Amino acid sequence: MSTHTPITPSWYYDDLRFHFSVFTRGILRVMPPVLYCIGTLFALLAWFDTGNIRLHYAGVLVGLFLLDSFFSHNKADRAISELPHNTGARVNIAPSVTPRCFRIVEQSMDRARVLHSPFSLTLCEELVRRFSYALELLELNASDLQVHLETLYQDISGESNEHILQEIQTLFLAGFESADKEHKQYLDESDLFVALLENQITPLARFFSAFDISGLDLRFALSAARYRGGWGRKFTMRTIILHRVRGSGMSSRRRMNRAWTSRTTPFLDTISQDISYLALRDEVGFLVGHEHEYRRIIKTLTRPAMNNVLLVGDPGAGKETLVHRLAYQIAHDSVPRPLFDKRVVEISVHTLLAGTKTEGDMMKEVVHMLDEIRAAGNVVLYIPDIHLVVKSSLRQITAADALLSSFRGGGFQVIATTYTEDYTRYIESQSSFRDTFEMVHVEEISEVEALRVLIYISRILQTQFHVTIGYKALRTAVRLAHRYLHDKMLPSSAEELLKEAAMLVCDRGGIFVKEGDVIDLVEAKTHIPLKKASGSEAELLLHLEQEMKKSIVGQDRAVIAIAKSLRAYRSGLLRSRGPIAAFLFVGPTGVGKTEVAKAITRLMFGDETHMIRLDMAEFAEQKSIARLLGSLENETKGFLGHVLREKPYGVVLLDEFEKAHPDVLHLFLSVFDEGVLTDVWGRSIDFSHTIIIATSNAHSQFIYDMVEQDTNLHVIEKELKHKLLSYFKPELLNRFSDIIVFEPLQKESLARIAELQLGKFIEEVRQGHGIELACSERAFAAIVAQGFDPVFGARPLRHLIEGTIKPLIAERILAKALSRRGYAIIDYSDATFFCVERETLL
Amino acid sequence: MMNIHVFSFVAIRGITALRRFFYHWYILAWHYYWGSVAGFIAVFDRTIALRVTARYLFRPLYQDYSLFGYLFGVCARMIRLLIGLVVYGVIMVSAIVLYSLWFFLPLYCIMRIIV
Repeated sequence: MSTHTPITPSWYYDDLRFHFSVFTRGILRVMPPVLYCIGTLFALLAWFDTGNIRLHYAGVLVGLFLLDSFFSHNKADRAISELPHNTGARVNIAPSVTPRCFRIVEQSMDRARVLHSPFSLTLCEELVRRFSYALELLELNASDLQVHLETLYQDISGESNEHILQEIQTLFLAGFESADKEHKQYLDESDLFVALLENQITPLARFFSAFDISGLDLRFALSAARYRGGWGRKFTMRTIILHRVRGSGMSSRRRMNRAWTSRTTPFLDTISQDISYLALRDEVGFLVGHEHEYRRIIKTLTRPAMNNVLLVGDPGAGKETLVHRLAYQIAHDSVPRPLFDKRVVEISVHTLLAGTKTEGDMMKEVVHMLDEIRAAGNVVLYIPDIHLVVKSSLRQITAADALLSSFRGGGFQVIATTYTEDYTRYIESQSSFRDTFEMVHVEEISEVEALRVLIYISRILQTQFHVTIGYKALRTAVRLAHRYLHDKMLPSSAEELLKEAAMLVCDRGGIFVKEGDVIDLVEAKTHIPLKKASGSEAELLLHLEQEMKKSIVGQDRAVIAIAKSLRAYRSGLLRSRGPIAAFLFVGPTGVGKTEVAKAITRLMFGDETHMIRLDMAEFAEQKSIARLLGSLENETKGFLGHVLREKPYGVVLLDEFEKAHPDVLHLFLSVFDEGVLTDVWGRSIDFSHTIIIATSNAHSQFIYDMVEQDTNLHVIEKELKHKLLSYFKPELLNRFSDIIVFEPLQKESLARIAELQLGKFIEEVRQGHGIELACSERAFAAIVAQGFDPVFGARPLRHLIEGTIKPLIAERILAKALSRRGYAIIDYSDATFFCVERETLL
Repeated sequence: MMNIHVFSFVAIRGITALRRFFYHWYILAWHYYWGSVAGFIAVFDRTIALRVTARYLFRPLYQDYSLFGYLFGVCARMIRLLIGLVVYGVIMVSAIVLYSLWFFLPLYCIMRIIV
């Protein structure tokens, strides 16, 4: 069997005019307007000279010709679609180039020759001038860009004629390819601009890349710029007539179908809204994306049986938009025959079930409504939030049953909608729903589709708030809404974000919504730093190890590992998936594992409240998963989801990780890998802006023994990783960014730790009570001696300060021996700590 | 040699302009005009519904399956059909007349110039 290989033509560009001299081209440029003037004069004179019939009609003919030329102004000779595409011959694309585009290139060529400049520079300058508004939408200033261009090209000299012609040929071919792919009618200057940007060789391409602007971005901006100052709608005669016709009553509420075979529904009309009426007036029906879902809806509704649809999706996914689109298509007869001439009618469950009606009255109304719908025969019933029927039917069982059995019985189609969470909670377990409805999950649209919607919506917002919305602001709104704002789906989340940004800019008297405005807004909402670190934060990150060492003694490996991961995160070199980093700290108790987590939380996130601490010993049972992820049975939401939504950026400390139930540990596989967990309600829990630190005391004795034998730390780590397999599965251990062994503390380190802990306590007393405390050398030595235990590490030190030193000072304060601006020394004698007050400091 | 190129270029441009005029006047205009007429009729048909009315000519009106319903249905739909045919007829005839004027105008001018 032979396969058919599509024949593609060999495109080339050749316009004779580029081979003519400047003078000749000048003449050719002037000739058409001169001829048009002569022709117009001739046509006018001949038109009015009815004496000479031949001249009169010649004038008419010339007039028609000139009118055609006027309306074809700036159109190329041949549309791109008219060029032969399925031939192997050489095809010249010059006839598809618009006159304005040719003139721009011609002028740029002449300037390049005269000024001995590179041709692409003169062309860039010209295009930048012409498309200054589109560049403004990309937050680029045309004048600044001109200056930058000259700098970019300063080392590039002018080219020979042949080289320029070759460049022109290459550029036009690239522009043609772009225009052909976009199914444009002609090749114009915007295609050349995009071709210049996408041609990686030119300095302009590198320049735009530095500003993170792609060919697609430029194309969108050029498209948006075309509609500046209004909708750009062409009111052709056809449109005007159609508007008049629509306005004359054809858009009146159509309760009867066109075939006159249905019946009126007076009761239904009082409790419902006619979506078809809105669709007929073009007030609803705009849809981007969701092609797959729409096709499934049509396929289901046109079935002879089981022809009801349940749309399931998160808020803002587009369920209602799909129903409106259906109504629009029905109103414009763009549906299969079973849906032809139908009305889409929306009823509210609240209206149906609310009020002080008795159950009997409510049943009567439901039955009445259903009878009307069946009798009418042309109604497609739309019920949003159908889960309310089930919810309320806990006490009104008969209503839900009556509705569902009617829907099952056929006679009319039903489209219902519900949210994912409510579907899981109320509907999924009900077999009556599964038997009645075909479930269609409405997924979020893609970012590209959302951007198209937002470009459309931005025109409305620009008019509403009297601002200009930059293209980068649109693109960033879509990207950040998709990434960080999960209350609603695209495009609703992006639309609300953009609206808020426009409102803020308008309130502060600005006129341009920039990318930075959107980023600031999302940072304020999510408390996640979105801009790359700079200034003091960058300084802190670069010296993070030194800063951490001010409160952490030893444990250099842990400090370096955390610092490196944070630097990567804040410089924008984040892993594409997963949390910022996930560490497993293994070591004996009291050696500083938790202290490291606290130190990094204080330094990077402000204070320790940004740390989410989980004692994994509390999750030793399988049923404790419900505490983390929620429970459908008990209708409880999980702790993890709630707390991470409050604090998406911080440290998650999983203490005593080895004590958790294996099923609980299993949950963290996807957390370490993807940075996301899904709770029982189907909602995502986002860990991608957290550092996860799991601590474990597993095999502490082994570590202790190895340290006693002066074994190298790397050897200890290597052997420990094998030993840890008795606690954790290999796939879990593999997912940690690093497993760090914490060595037992040596006595020498304890003095430093004591200094830090005491210093913290002394500072707390100074800040809280205005009292200056000091510690004598003997007291300090006693604290160090008593605070160390080879098994418990530095923990006795904390107990000593909490259990002995603090109560001592507390007693002195309560006895009024110590007061504000007081001064005391902690001393030690005869195995007792005591406090010596000094005179008040001035 | 250059002059030959220039003249041939000018000649080709002139011929292209003429070709373009006739292409616009006859080919493009045909598609645009009849497309608009079809769209115009489609808008009317959303109310007059000629095809649908003909299809359901003998169906009783508003599902009234009594004798009266049948008779009234046939009569009402016949009247609607008649009105529809008249309206569409007028639209089509007007459209044909207008297009004919459009079609023959340049030819008529040429004929009057020559003859």
